[in-house]
Amino acid sequence: MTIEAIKTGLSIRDISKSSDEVNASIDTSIESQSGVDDNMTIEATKTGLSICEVSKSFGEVKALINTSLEIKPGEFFTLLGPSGCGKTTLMRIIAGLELADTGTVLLSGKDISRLPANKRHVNTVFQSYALFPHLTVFENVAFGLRSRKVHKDEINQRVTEALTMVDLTGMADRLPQQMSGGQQQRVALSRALVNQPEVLLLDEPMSALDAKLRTQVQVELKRLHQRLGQTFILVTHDQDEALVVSDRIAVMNHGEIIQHGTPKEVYERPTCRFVAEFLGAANLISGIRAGNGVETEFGALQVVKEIPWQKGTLAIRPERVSIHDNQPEVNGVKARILDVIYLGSNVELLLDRGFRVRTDTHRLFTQGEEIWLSFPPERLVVLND
Amino acid sequence: MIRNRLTVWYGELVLRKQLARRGSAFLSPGILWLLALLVLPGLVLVVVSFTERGAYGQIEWLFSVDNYKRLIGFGMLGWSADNLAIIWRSIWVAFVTTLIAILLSYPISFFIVNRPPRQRFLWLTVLIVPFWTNMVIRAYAWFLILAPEMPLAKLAVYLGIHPANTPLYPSSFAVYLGMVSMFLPFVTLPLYSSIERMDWSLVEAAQDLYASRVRVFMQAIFPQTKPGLTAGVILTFVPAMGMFVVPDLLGGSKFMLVGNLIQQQFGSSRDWPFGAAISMGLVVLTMISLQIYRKKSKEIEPI
Ligand SMILES: Nc1ncnc2c1ncn2[C@@H]1O[C@H](COP(=O)(O)OP(=O)(O)OP(=O)(O)O)[C@@H](O)[C@H]1O
Ligand SMILES: [Mg+2]
Repeated sequence: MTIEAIKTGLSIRDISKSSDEVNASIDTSIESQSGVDDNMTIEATKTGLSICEVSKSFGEVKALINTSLEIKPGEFFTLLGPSGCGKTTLMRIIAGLELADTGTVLLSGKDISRLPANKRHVNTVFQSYALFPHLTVFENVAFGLRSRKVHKDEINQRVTEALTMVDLTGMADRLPQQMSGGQQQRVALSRALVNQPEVLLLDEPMSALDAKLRTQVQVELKRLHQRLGQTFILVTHDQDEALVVSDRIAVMNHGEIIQHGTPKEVYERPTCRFVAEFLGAANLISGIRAGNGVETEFGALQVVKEIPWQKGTLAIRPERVSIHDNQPEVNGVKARILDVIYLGSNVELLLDRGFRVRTDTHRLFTQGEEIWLSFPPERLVVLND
Repeated sequence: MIRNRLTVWYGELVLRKQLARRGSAFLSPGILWLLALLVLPGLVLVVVSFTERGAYGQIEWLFSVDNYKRLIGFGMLGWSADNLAIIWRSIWVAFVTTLIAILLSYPISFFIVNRPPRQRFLWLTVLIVPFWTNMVIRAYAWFLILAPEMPLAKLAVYLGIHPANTPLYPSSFAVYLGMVSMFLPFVTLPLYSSIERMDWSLVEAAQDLYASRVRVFMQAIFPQTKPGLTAGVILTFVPAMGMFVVPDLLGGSKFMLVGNLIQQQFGSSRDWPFGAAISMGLVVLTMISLQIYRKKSKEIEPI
């Protein structure tokens, strides 16, 4: 499953990124698993983080099943998935707070699977922040540096820098409980970042913030990442957050990585039903293969991609359905509007047969009206399941 | 004007005056209780400590500071260090007892916390079962354990640190053993309740931030267990300073503590004024010790 996903993910990336870069990552993600050991593989695994076939069970619960991942240095990588799918578990295995049952974690080419947490150059921003309540903001941020016996002057300088970076100058002498949730979150962030870790892990750092602050922090985080160029791994179950901040996203469910790729890839080209539905809204159409097209309740639909099944599902995003005044040439469907939902910049039309269409507000739609739709073949995604 | 007198008390809008009246009403049973059972006897003790012993052991109401002079060693035969030695020994014994109890309590508490919830109750019960019997009986129980034919004494003989065919008591070792066993649960129980409620994510955060084992303990565990530890220290150190049963039975006449000295004055010597003066000294010393603990435990905190 995982290897499958990597392959599809990479074949699409081919188009958007320079071929050198893509070749390197293909080598790491596929050939490192098959044991091929050429120069490219070593080059690529030397930097960045690789997780190889990691499994973890808690009694009966399988929290992670044979998970493999390659994260490039400097990448903003997001683990996205519903509650209980194993995101935190994977994070804790990387940080060294949990021991994997099987599999290895490589950081810059070195096996760190058996290293204790305090020996790994990885830092975590905890979901609950876990700030030391008896230490001031300054001492909280200085904690990692003091553990590593960094010289006093350097500590002063780096902590002050780290606090400036997250806009907390002047709060250095406060105690954590004298700060708001958003401020505490920034203390936690700078406490981790001040150590300049090879990988920064962020476990749902925004979950305690309100919606407005959250978008603001997302943008700040993205900007910070661009400035520092460090590897960030973010855990979230908020798909909008994942799409906004990430270079790449891995979608998880039931302890497995279902698909990974750039936000665009996973959004536009979901490989399965779960990903299609988890990342935003999707219209699902089931059908039977008929030659190069699919026979569905809307008639024969043309698709661009190859169809791997006899009986299966197609998906299309609501905003990818086009609306016509007259019958379109390909994949045209007539539908009745059941409801019109005004969304400000868009309108969403609820159509019969459970279909949703999103369009801009240039035309007035009325309830009960019949309209022509078309599903552009290049927008129809063939799901694998 | 009105704003000044109105206040919000947990969501209720009340006058400050009302609140004060209510507060004193809630406090009064406690204050009365303290007054009747602690302050009054205490005051009596203070007064008595300045009086003199009569020829037949009665209290003569002649006020002087002679008892306190005697306490610090100025007797009829000139100055002697005996009393001060006893006081110093008491402080030392209480300190060592508390320290050993703390050192034992951490591993015990962590052990119990790491048991499944059902078993924890069982282990806690094991810890307090000895307290279902009387203190004197428990002290006598040590006689049996420390007898010459028991393994402990045999081991000591084997190691060459103890003569054969004599019990391990009376000795300072026996006193410490008795004291620690007497006070261990008073440290372990409050410490356990602190550790049970501990936020382990702080421990993980410290680990994540490269802390060594010592640093993890000092910065992530110790500050969280301090409330329980403080309760344990007070519950142990204060009574340990005044303990007389254990040193009396297991320490013999050469290992006297302040508790024994006081007991002697109120008992066989029938010198109540002097006994009262020693008690006052004990109270003052205990308070000083706890102040030192407070200061020290605060000092430990930063880094
Ligand atoms: N210490 C543990 N003991 C037992 N089961 C655990 C433990 N930690 C996690 N699990 C189980 O493992 C699975 C994955 O948990 P995990 O915390 O990784 O989920 P998650 O993806 O982070 O979810 P959320 O978004 O709710 O934080 C869950 O079914 C959870 O119940
Ligand atoms: Mg989680």
